[in-house]
Formats: sequence, C-alpha cells, structure tokens
Amino acid sequence: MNSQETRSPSRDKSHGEYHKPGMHWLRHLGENWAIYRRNPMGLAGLGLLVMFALMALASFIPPLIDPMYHPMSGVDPEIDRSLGPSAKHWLGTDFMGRDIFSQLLTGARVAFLIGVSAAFMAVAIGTLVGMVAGYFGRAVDTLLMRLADIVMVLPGLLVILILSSVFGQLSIWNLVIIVGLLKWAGVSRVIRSQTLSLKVRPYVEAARVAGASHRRILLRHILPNVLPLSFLYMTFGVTSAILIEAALSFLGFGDPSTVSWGMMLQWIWKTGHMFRAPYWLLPPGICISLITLSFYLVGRAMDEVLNPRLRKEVLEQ
Amino acid sequence: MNLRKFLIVRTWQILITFFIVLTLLFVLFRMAPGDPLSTIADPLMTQEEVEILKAQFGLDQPLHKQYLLYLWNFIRGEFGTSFYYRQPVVQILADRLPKTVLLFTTVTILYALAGISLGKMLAWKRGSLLDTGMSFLGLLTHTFFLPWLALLLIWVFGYQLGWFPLNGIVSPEVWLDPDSGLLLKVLDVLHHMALPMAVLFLTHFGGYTLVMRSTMLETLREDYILTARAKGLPERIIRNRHAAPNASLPVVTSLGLSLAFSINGGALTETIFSWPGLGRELVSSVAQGDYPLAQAAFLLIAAFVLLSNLLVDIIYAYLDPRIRY
Amino acid sequence: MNSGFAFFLALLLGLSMGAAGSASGAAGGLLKVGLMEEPKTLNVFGAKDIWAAKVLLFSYQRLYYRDPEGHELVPWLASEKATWDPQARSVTFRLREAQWDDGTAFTSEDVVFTAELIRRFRIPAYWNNWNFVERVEAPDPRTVRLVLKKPMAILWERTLTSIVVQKKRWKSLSEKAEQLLQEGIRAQEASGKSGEEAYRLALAKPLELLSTHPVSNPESLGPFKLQQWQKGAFIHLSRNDRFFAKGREISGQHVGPFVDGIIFKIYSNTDTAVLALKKGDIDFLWWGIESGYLEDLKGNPNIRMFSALKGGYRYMGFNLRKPPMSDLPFRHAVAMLVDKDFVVQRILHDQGCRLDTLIQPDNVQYCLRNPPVYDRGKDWKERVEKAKSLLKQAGYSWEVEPVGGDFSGQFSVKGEGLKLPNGQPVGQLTLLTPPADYDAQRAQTGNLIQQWMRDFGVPVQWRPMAFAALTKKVESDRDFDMFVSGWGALGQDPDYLRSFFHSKGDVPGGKNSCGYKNPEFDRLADLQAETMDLEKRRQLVMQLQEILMRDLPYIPLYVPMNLEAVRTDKFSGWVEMPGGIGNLWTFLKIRPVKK
Repeated sequence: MNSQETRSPSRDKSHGEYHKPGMHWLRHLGENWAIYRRNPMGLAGLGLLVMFALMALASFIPPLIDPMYHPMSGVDPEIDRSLGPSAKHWLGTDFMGRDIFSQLLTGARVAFLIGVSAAFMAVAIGTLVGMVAGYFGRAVDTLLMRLADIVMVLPGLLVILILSSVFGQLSIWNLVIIVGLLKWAGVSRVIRSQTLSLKVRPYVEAARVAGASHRRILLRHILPNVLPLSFLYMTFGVTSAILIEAALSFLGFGDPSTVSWGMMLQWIWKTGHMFRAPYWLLPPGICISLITLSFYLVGRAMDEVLNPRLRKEVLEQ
Repeated sequence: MNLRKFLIVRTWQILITFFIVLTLLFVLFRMAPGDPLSTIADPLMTQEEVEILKAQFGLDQPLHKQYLLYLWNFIRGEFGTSFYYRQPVVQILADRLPKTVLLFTTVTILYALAGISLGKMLAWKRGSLLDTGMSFLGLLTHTFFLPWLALLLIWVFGYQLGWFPLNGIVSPEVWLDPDSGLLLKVLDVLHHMALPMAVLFLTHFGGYTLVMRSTMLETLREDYILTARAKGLPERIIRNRHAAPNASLPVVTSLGLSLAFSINGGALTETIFSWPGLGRELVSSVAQGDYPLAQAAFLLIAAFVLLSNLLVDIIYAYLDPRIRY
Repeated sequence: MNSGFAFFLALLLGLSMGAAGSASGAAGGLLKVGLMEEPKTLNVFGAKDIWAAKVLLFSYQRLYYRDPEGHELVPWLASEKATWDPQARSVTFRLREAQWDDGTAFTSEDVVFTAELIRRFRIPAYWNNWNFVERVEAPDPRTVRLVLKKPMAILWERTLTSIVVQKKRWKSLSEKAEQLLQEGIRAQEASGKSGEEAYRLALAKPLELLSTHPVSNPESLGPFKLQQWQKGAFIHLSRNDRFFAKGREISGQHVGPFVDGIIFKIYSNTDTAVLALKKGDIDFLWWGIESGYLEDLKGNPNIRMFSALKGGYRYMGFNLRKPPMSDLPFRHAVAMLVDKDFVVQRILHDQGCRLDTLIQPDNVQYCLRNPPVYDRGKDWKERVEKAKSLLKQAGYSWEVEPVGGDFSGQFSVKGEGLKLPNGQPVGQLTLLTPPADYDAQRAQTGNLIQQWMRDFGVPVQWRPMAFAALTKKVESDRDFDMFVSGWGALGQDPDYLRSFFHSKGDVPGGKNSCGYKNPEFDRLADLQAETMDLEKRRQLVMQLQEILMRDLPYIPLYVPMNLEAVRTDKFSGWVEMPGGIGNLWTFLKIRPVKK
C-alpha cells in the first residue's frame, strides 16, 4: 500500500505555469470544460447531479402547498396506511400516510447537506495535513502519514457504530464531523505527493530564497496548485459520506428526526413493506445509487481533466 | 532493504497501529458522558455491585493506572463478561470469528480474481462495446446501496425463485438428518453462502475491474510491452505473461486499502442475512448497549483488518521485488 | 483462467442447490418455529432476553400455571390449591409426582433449594418475588410450606409461579458460590464493614458465578428437552418422555405433547421471517407482526392469523416536576384533546383497543369498570371549549384563543401563544417518542398529539428518539416534558401500579419517572400489597386507579394487538390465550395435521 508514496505523480506540464495565485482556475476553466465536455459519462453525471440539486431545492415546496406534505410530521388525513401512487401522492404514501415523494425530495436535500459538508471537512483536513506533511517532510511527514495509515485502515461505519454506542444517539451534525475525521486520510496522501513535487519547483525555490515565510509559501504557492485535486477528491468524499449515513440509518442508528433515504429504507424494512410496496422500496434505493454514481462520474471525468494517473487510488476511497 | 527486514518493519508498524487503536478505544470509552462505569456496568446492577465492579476494573484508580490495567487485561485476553450473553466475551467471539473469515476470505478472493481477469480483458478490448458496457456495469453495481441490493436478491432468488435459502448459515433439516454426510453439510453451508457472497461480490468486483483495466492500459503503453510486440510474441502471451502480472500489483494494493471499506459492507451483509459473524455481533451488541462485547468485537475486527493488510504487503513484496523498501 | 473459474462457480452452485433439494422433507413431526434472535444464554439465572425465556419455557416448570380456558391459576407442579394460614402467615401445598429428564425424582427438596438459592444470593429478577419469605420448609418430599415475614399479595401471582430448578444439577455450583460469599464477607469485614452491609457487598462475585455459569443443556421437567444448539443457526428440542403431564388430564385439558420436537430458527428481521412462513420454512413465527402484513397474509390459504391484546399498554407520561405539566387543569385539558378512538382507528387500524385506566381491560379482576373518560361523550367542539375553560379558570390565557372545528382534531381558529397564570408564555415543550422503526404506532401517536396540542396553542415539538436514549432521558436523567411510551409483559398482578407511582420510586433508576407524589396513593398502594384477601385487595386497587385517573400522571392511550401468524397445512390446535398463541399450552396441544 505504499507504492504510491514513492512514485511521485507525473503532472501535466501546464502546472508549472499556474503558479500565479488565484488566477489559474478562471483562466483555464474554459479549457478544462472543453476537455470535460468530451466525456459523455461525465456529462451524464453532471446531468444527474443537477437533477438531484433541483430535487433538493424543490423539497421546500410541498410543505408549503399543504401541511400534509411535510416529510416527517405531515399525514394525509384520509390515508392511514401505505398506498400506491395517486394524483395526490405521486409516489404513494408510507405506513403512516406520509407522502413518499416529498420524503424523497427531502432525502436529496439531506444527502447533499451531509455529503457536501462531510466531504468538505474531510478534504479541508486532508489538504492541510497533506500539504504540511509534504512541505515539511522528515518527522512531521512520518508522523502524519503513519496517522493517515491508521485512519485509513479503520472501518468507518463500525467506528461510528462504536461511537454511537458510547455517546448515545448521534445527531446529523455529529455524524458529519465524524465522517470528516475518518475520511481525510486518503486525500492527504495524494495532496502530500503533489506537494512533494511542487516544493522542488523553481518558483517555490525562488520564493524561499526571496525570504518568504513557510505560511506564505504554503498558502500562496502550494495551496492554489493542489486545490483542483482537493476539489476532485471532494466529489469522491461526498459519496462515501452519503453511503455511510444511509447505512447507519438503515441499521437503526441514524438521527430519527431526519428524513434521509437510508431512513426511508429503514422504515420500509422495519414496518414490513419491503416486499409489498415497490413504489416505496425502489425510489430511495435508486436515488442512493444514482447520486453515488453521479458523483463518481463527475469525479472520474474531472480526474481525466486534471490527472489521469491517480484514478486507481480514487476508486478505493 | 531485503524482504525480511521489510517484513519486520511492516510488522512493527502494524503492531504500533494496533496499539494506537487500542489506546484510542480506551480514551473513547473514558470520554463517554456520565459515569465511565456506564460503559461496563450492567444497568440492572445494584449500587453495591457497581462499587465492586469499579474496584475490579480499577476505576477507583488514577487514569494512568487504569490505562495500564486496561493494557494488561488486553494482553491476558481478559475482555470481561458480556452483559447479555453472561459469558466471557472471548468465547462468544471465538465462535463468530471463523464464520466471518469464511465468508469474507472466500468472497474477497473471488472478486479480486474476477476483477483482475475481467479488467485484463476489458483493457485488451478497450473502446469496444463490451468495454464500455462492462465498465459502466462495474461502476453501477459498485454504487448499489448494499442493504437494498441484498433485500432485492433475497426477494428474487430466495423467495420468488426459491433457489437459495433466505438467510442463516445452515438448514437444520440437513444437519439433523443422521443420513447427511460431511459433504452434504459442506454443500449446505455453501448454499447459504451464495446470496451473501453474491451481494458482496456485486458491490465490490466493479472497483477492482476498473482499477485493473486502467493499470493494464498503462502497462500496455510501457516500453517492454512494445518490445515484446516487436519481437512478434503472440498477443495472448503478451497479455497474460507480460502485462497482466505487473498490472495486477495495484489491485493487490487496493485490496489491502479497501478492506476497511468492505468490512463495513460485511457487517451490513451479515446483519441482513443473519450470518452469525463478527459484524452482526458488533451491530447487535451496539444496539443492546453490550459494551464489553462491542469493544472486543471492534478490536478483533481491527486486528483482522490490520493482519490482512500485512498479508497483502507480504504478497505484494513477493510479487514485485522492486517495491521492497 | 476465466472459463475454469466460471466452471468452478457453476459446479459449486449446482452442487449446493442439489444438496438443498435432497434435504427437504427430512423432518416429520418437528414443529418449526421462527425467532427473531438467538437466546443469549440458557442459564436461567443469567438470561435476560425474551428469546431465552421462550426456549426455557419448555424446561423449567412452575408450581402454578394459568389454564387456557378460565385463565386462572391452576396447580401445575403443585397438585392442589395452596392453603393460606393467616395466623402462621404460611402457605402450604403438595406436589405432583414427576421426574426430571435424567430420571431423578422431583421432590420438595428441589423447590426448597431453588427458593434458598434465590434468597441467599438475591438473584435479580427473582429475588423481589421472594424477599418477603421468611423460610421455606419441606415437611415431606411431596409437601412445601412457605412462611412469610409479612403477608404479601404478590405471593399468588408471582412467588408461586416462579420456576423450579434441579437441586442435583445446581448444588455444587451453589456451594462454590456460597464459598465465594463467605470469603467476600470476610474480606468486607476485614475492611470494616459488617452485618447486612458486608453481606450485600460480598454478593457480586457469587452472583457473577451463578449467572455466567455456562448451561449447555438445561435440565427439564417440562414437555421438551434441549437436544442440540448449533450456535448462530438453530436450536433443536426433542420430546421429553418423562414429562409428568404427558397423556394426562390437567384442569380438563388433555395434555401432549403430540409433536416429536421443536426446531427454532433465527431470522433477524420480520420481512424474511414472514417470507419463510409463506415459503413453508417455518410453521409459526413467535413474534408479533405489523398490521401491514395482514392484507398480504390473509389471502394465503395455508396461513392463519391470530390476534390477542398484548400484555401491556401505551401511555403518555408527564413530567410533574415542571410547569405547566405540574398543573392538574393542564393535564385534564390535554386529556380532553387526545382522541383515543381516533388513534385506535387511524393508527392502529383497529388492531387494538382504547385504554381508560392503567390496568389492561382483559385483566377483568382488577380493571376499573367505569373510569372517568375525558375524550368521549361530548363532541370535539365542546371538548375544546371545556379544555379552554379549564385552563382559563386556572388563570391561563392565549394570544389567539382556539376554536374547535367540526371534526376531531380540526380547529376553525388555531390557538396561539398559551400563557401561564403568571403571564409568562409557555416555553417550547418536547414530546418524546421512540423512533418510527422501533414502534411506528407510538411515534405516530406522538405526532398526532403534537398536532392537536399545537393547534390548541401549546407550543409542542414531537421528537422521535432512539429507545435507549429515551429511556435514559426519562428514567435516569428525568430530563423531559412529556413522552409516549409503553409497558409490556405486566402480568396479571396489579402491584406494578405501586412501583410506577409510589413516591418511593421517584429516585434515579426508580420507575416513578413522572415524579408523582400523593401520600393517600402511597398509603393505599402499600395497603393493597399486603392484603391477602382477593376481594378486599380488588377494592383497594380500584381506588388506586380512581386516584390515578383523577390526577393523570399518565394519560392511558391504548392496548395494541399482538398479531401472530401460523401455517395451517402441517399442524393444528393452536391455543389462544391473553398475550397470544405463543404459550406453553399451544405446544402441549398442537398436533400434526392428518393427510
């Protein structure tokens, strides 16, 4: 598992020119988009992502139409069991007569919320650790990377199970923090090797000779050049956060006051509708699958734009 | 660095890692809100019993002494008594471990082999309809939400078609029948393993296929392959003898890395299929607040993951002598 | 490699499916029962889970047992009704002739030994049924006499229905435990403790020994004995041919068992268990299923459903330590708004019944006949008015006063901003329930009550919470406003009212989580506990219920149904009793269907 460490990634040569802080993204966005556009799977992923984002936004609408469309506490006054799709309830109702469609929309919102915030945390920590480890090297490097090794081999879901057994019920935000703390290691590895190759670039050397502080070098010269990679890793982090939340909810350790797709599946499972209500079973499962897929596809397409060689590590995160 | 030295270094690293996990767990359980004893005391115990237990676990001692006692108990294999089983935790886990290892090792080998051979083939036929189709399929199954897939498979193959048992590890009918020989019993277990294995296989082989495919593509661009081509060696030989062994190295690596990930899936699978393994025990002990059992099960799983990582390193070093360091 | 691999897989699959084919139809007179979990242990003194209780039901027998027709306690291991001597404070009964499954005779020695073991080591969950017993005597091998410290009414329902273990089997262990106890006492005395305190402190180790002693094969006095326990897979019980009641007539019942044995299979979720039932893998699922399955299973000709009221109930509890819950008018007003008929109809789908007192309606002996009913008789509009005037009289006021609508739960004007008599607004209140996956009915009831109270102007937030967390908040931390929860397996003896509401129970870990304090109630509750005369006790228990229904620390809500499903194609003769068909009698009477 240490092979990647020794193999410094061969970066596209263009990176050397990007060292002027802050400008490179904008300037090359168009160029990158041109590469991205050629990837049909990437476009499909982006399309799906836009769809889920729209779903998340739309989730605010149903409760405004009628309180019975509230995903958690709204109950159709005329329906007291799970019924199939109808004009009033496009995807039918759950065991209490709540609207499945509005639950599904809310699930998209929760998935984005959890996924993006947990991934952002993981990537922020991972980028910081990776840069510091790569830049300072020696003992700092060894220490941080051994730590990353440890975190990397921890089975995340089980760690969270243990945590929820010790601290009782975990709220959705605690969950986000824990997922962030468990998922930074993979990112830090890649950022570290990127930093290693950046710090011997002439412009970094030049800045150092000119007397720039470590902080300045890290922030002005290294960070802008690793950010695209961090961003790429965020797309992968999102999926793992969504999957962990769903699995946790499914096992019954989720936050019961949140409507997520995993929670919806847990309701089906526990109320015995699994094999009788396909209109209820299929949508959340498909949504989890598709949102995961869309982030993967976007990530892979971006990966191709940014760096085709790192793909294999990415898949395992 | 020679092989022996490499292995010694790795073993040390693994041991240190395990030690840190052990320590983290100690800190975690002491950080629990309220009385630290709530993590070891049975809720039905009287105040007096709790006091006794406190002394027994050294909880009336200062923190550093507690920590040493904790390590000492670990070394002695003293994990306490499960609240609910009323049995030493070690006994319970000794019964669960082989079942997890059986399911997990079998399926890991299966999907690694399948991933390698499939990825090899797809890289060879890159750009073809087969390649695009299979790559997409691999990605799709990789993103399936495991519990959902498991329930779908149970419904179709266990119930509708009736080809496989719904869950469990053996059929009592087979095991209680005096006429059933060993072979029949083994087959019965395999029959029960089929669906959980299918779930784990489907959700995992895609990742390996794609890794193998991409490294194979890279390898095919290497100079020595071009040389082999130039020499006029048959394509089959180039593919299987020259390219594939090198290209499969990263797959072996990712096997170690993704183990933690697939152990999660293992726990879910075991729970849904009532497979009496470690993962299911961990889930149910957490649900019931059986802390001694949850703690020990977690440590055992962590040890299993770490050992497997070590094993992967050994295989890796053996396969690729260049990488030892 | 590819084709070889595929071939290998195909071979394995084919072989394993063949194996399954050859195995079906092997077990003949074996009843296959589905459980949701494996028993944790078969040590009867260590087991806390209901699954162990189900398996142990067939081994350890009781002195008296409830008969299937009149549901009264009838002699089981005892051979006659026990006689009570008020002067000597003693109860005497004779035993049947019976044998343990190893052939040794069952005698009064076993009963005395069991009682002494429980008393000496204060075995949790048993000791509270025996702690008022002064001594247990065996005048002869067939006679047992208990002498009590003071009269205790739970003697009949609890002490005399306690289990009996075999002296021969447990003797050496109990001697070891005794040794540990003595050592412990000496150690405690050495550290300055003495008497009762030293004894109590010394109990931990012997108790640990007793409860963790591995029991792989529990001794049986009952209809079945353990044959094999394949851990994680199944449990096989076979018929015990030494069973004392086999082929006999007991309280008018012809007793079997008529099946060769029982196999328990483990399914960890209801969905697969129900599939197994439909598929014929099991004959009986020993677990209440959700009413959602009802429609699905009704149409199946091979499946029959049984329903019976569960042995417990659901209620809404108030934290009487906090305003406004501490105000009686507030609780009365809430009781008027909580429409139980609506809950039963809409949430339970009529699979249950409303509850108006704190003893289940099928406990005919003790259940209060005409309890005060707050949510019936007047129509909804009037009830809203009544609730409003109750609160107004007590000094409450609104920013916007609610006005009831035409249907239950409807408001033509929604209330806003209820203010306490001192003019302060009522702060945000929380209504805790278990999460929907634990109990959808309780969660949904909480949701409804939240809606009603909100529209009435009380700011309430429904909060589903993991069950363990809820228990901790309510029972240990006492940090809550209101909650919807339930009690299960309460049994017939009404003494639980004392533990739920006696002011002595208002300590951390005690059962009086509401913080109800009423000296009159305490006095009557203590009195009924010591009243041996059934009729007098009944009067007292009625009074207790009247007090509780006036003071409303709980609002009783409903009793859910226990829905159980069986296959009808292989066995018949299921016995319906309060609590469901999963009772000993079912397994004594069930027969294979003749083809």
